[in-house]
Amino acid sequence: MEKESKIYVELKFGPKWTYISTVRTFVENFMAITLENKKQATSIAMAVNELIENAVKFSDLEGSELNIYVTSAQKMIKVIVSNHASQENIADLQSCLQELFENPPLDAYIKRMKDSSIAINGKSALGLARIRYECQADISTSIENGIVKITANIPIEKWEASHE
Amino acid sequence: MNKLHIEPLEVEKTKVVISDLQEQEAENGILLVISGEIDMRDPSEFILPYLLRIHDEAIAQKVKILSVDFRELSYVNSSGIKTIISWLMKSKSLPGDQGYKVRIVQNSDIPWQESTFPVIQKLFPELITFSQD
Repeated sequence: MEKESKIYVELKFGPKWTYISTVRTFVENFMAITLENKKQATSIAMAVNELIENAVKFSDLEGSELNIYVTSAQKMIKVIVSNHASQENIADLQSCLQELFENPPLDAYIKRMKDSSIAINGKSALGLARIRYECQADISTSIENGIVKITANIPIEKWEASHE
Repeated sequence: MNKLHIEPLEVEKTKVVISDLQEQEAENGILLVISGEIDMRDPSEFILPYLLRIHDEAIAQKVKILSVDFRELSYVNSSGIKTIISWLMKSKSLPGDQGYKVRIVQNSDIPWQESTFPVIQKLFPELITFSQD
């Protein structure tokens, strides 16, 4: 699907927390000239922000990769964030994701809200629960050679005339 | 100075200002204006202790309504949501006659407010009410 997309962003950056808001702003501007619905552009930037924050929290090495593909055929935004993680962090992430996917998006989001308020290690996966419900994102993960790749497929409503 | 005697907070991109609620129907009310963005890594380090201090003083001063104006808060990450939830959980745990109600003033033109607040309301249906800008 990625190769079919003519509209895309590919970024690789050192996963420092202070870069995250800059990436969010860039993605929001990119989406705002791509989508008719400007609020949705902001929501997608929020989803990217949450995925990158997640990558920084779970990453154990410098370097995080962000790929965004706009696929007009499926009216979908595909966001992929990859980073290297330790075995311990991968186990934490898998545990969070398993619990997340056990419930429908709204139920899982509310449960994560409740649980996160008493979580002590900051790895609550609340951000993933948030974009799954608020952005209606279909989230999938893959782990290979210590690289965690999280993919969020986000449906979009309308397109600018130039992208029809 | 407000009746809680708490100074404003300014940390990174977030600003919180407290004042006494001026409305006649809320004689013992407090207005909290939270503006900017909450996108720091750990808001529980500065913002949550500040909100819990407000909570403690509000109990001591028998505040009955706490109005929180989010209209100028353009972004909140999930750690910020966690901080808001942790604070509201404290309020929720109090017996009815000892606690206060929370009124959230929101701006539905800001996407996170439009999508996140309805979920928070499901968690605290008895505690919080909403008003639009």
